Amino acid sequence: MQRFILFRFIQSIFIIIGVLVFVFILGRVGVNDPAILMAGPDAEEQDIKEIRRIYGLDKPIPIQLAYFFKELAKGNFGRSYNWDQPALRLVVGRIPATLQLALLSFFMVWSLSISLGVLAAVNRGTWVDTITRTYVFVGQSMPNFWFALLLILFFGVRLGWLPTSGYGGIRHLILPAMALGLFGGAGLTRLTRSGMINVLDSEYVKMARAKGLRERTVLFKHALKNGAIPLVTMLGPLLARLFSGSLIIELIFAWPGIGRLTYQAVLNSDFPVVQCAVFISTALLVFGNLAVDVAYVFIDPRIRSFGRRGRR
Amino acid sequence: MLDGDMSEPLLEVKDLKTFFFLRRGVAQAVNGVSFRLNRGQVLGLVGESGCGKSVTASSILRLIPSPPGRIVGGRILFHDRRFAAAERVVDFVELSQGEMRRYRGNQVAVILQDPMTSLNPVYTVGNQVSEPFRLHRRLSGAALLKEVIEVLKRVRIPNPEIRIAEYPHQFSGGMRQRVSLAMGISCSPELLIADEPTTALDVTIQAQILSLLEQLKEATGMAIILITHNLGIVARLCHRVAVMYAGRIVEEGRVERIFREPAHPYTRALMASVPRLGMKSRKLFAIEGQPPSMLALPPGCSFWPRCSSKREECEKEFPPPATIEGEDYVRCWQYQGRLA
Amino acid sequence: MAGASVVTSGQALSQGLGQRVWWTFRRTPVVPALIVLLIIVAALFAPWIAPQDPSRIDPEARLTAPAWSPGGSPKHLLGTDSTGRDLLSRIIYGARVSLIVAVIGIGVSACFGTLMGLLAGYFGGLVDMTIMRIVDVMMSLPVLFLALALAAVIPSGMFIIILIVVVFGWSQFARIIRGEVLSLKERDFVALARVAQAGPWRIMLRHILPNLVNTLTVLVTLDVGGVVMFEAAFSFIGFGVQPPTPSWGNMLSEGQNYLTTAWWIATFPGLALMAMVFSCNFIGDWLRDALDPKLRQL
Repeated sequence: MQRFILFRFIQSIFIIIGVLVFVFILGRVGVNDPAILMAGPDAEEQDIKEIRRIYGLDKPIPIQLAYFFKELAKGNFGRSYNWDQPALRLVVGRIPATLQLALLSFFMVWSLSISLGVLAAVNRGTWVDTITRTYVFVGQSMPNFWFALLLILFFGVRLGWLPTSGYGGIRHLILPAMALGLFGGAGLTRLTRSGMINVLDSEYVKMARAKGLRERTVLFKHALKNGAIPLVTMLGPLLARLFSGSLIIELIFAWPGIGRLTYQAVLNSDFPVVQCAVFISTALLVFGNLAVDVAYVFIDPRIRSFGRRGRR
Repeated sequence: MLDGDMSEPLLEVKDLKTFFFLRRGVAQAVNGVSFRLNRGQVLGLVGESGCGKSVTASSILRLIPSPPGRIVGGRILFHDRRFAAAERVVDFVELSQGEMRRYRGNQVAVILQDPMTSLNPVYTVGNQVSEPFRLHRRLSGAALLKEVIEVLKRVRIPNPEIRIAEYPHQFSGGMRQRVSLAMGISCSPELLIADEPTTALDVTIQAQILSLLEQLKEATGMAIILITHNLGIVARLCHRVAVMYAGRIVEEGRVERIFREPAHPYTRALMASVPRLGMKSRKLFAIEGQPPSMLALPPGCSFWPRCSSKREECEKEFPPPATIEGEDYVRCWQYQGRLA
Repeated sequence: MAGASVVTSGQALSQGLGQRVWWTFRRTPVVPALIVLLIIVAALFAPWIAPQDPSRIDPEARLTAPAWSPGGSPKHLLGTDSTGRDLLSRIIYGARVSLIVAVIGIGVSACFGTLMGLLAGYFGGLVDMTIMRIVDVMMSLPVLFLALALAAVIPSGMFIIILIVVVFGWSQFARIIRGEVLSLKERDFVALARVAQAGPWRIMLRHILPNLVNTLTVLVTLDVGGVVMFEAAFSFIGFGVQPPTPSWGNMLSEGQNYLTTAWWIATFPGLALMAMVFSCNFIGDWLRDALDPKLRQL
């Protein structure tokens, strides 16, 4: 098991390095000559040459790459062309906001969706089940940005209950978190429901009841833990989805997170920031997935004995 | 088999009817089953797959999944000696689920067919075996540990002190079945329902489990309802046997008599289809036709489409019980009015 | 005890014709199939179906409400946008974009992904490990972020969208196809083909591939929803299809500014999107159940 974790850790490092190289290349390709960008709109030929020299942009690409990584090791991602600050500081400064959004959404999704899924499984065939299944279908078909717009329309404008943009307390977070969580939540509910239905039909649940255990114990002790196993496999993709989705949501709600920063940076061809943002987001995602894989091992004792259960 | 006095009734099932209300129709899985089980007796419940044996067992424990299924009639009388000083007769059909839970795992226990799936894979064996102790005898801590190890020893699991921390997948099929047995006998049940306990096991392991069952029965005096389609097991362990077909008992009686002189045509056919050593004919005997679907039972005696001795009455009405000997009876029109 | 059953079989089955029709209706995806058909027709025959030219600007008819609302006119059934363009026509043409992206994007990524899956599954060993490592990596990347980074370099439009769909989409096909191939590989007909000295390519293409049709069909159908949504999302944030070319995504983006004053600009494209994705998902699920592996391939 330790070997497995080590392997995945190394793989994660490689992924990040790969992504860095990729973005680095993007930053030097074609239209976007960093020197011109850095120099600004009214620079002269001389200034541009100067900048090239200072930043080593006249050297061949592999050497530039080496410099790049050398600077990276020092934590230097360059300066934002646009905002004239160290890129790393800029990006890291936005992490809390995105994290808040993602975490709130994550918890909302988890608690509501899983509860709904369990409720639907336990009350199969009743109206609870029907509503849940409708939610699952609609949730997986509705684009979350459209949902966000609808939310804004109803809660923000018509009803005026919640603010629709900007940074602030919890109240500002609710609508974005809801919009973000819709799609992932629907998928999670569906998985929970079908997983629980299978588990509730199983022999060991029947045995548990036959031992005289209370239905509550049967559900929460015996059924849920087994039903959770497929959910953990969903965690990784859920994280990825929340992360990717947060970008658009941040834009719609003017939430000052990494996604919005990246977007603005791209509009401005501000490569240091783009590079840094992509690096950070990939790192967060990749290590998040790693954490999920490790958690999986702890939940299902069968894996500890057999190693990776040939998931791949 | 030398047993103690087996004349005191423990369980009386009277005219039990359990139906499943499906979209396609109503499945009459148990259609008027009656039998009596005395203390210390072993009753075999035999029949083809789908004849309602397992549903009967689940009904006794009131474990029928309730949206489609329901006990629509009959009584399940249990002679309870544990909860009060004097013996009380309780009708399980009338009890609420909460009240039933006091009996489940306590005086009435179950072991199921498939050892691969009847234990929860994510909890240790010790955890699962300790549940009945914790629940019904309110044990904890050192006392609990002692009992768990003790009961695992009784089912002959080697090194129980180590194995309680292991998970079901680390046990073989036979071992898992022993664990299930341990869970079942933990609170000294008066009735153990064994639903095809050896069907999923290798033949050699089967023999071990059966002899274990025998010993446990001798030691505790518990009654057993043994559900199986294997007549060999019945011959070995059971005192009486009830033959089920399409949700009804068609013949019931002492094992020796039924094996010697089966009365009902279905019973006869079952006996004939068991290959024996020294059989002259090479061809195996099989009963023609298929068991009927529970959704569309023919009127009258359900067996008549496949019966070689059918008569007019058979299609019209299901025959009442006709006594053969003592408490043995058969439900077949052939015997109506002929036997005392 | 009487022999008569409580409920006779005849009674139980006579649920009535109406109920049976309803039950069948619920199980076959008639409505979703119609919706998808409608969208395909709209996309293919847009120039003949659309009531107006989608790019025709008409300043006087700006922000007209849908025909049934006050202020609406039958000339613009679903209203107009901020520059007076007819919404209905734009939605019809928007279907084209979605369809093109879906067809080309999924087409290429499915082909490539299937090829990779075949190679990985059939040859195993180092080939398998390499391909699967790459698949793992691709599937653990933040798509939208990387897509944005690409957008900084590659000009906006359908091309970049299709590129992203292909680059990030093939891995899911590869993984699932590989799984199928692994199990198919053990079957007798493959062993027989090997005995008959068939080369690996022949085996893969002629024997294994036809058995993958079911899985592929389901995968492709289920993928359409996701791809259409991605195109909409990317166009929504401005890096995809650019106006004046109508895409449901960029129409939604426009509508965002007029949410309170002209709600229809954002609502109808959104509904179209939802209808498309919902129908494809529904059909995909139904296909998955219907094409049970035990049955014959399509």
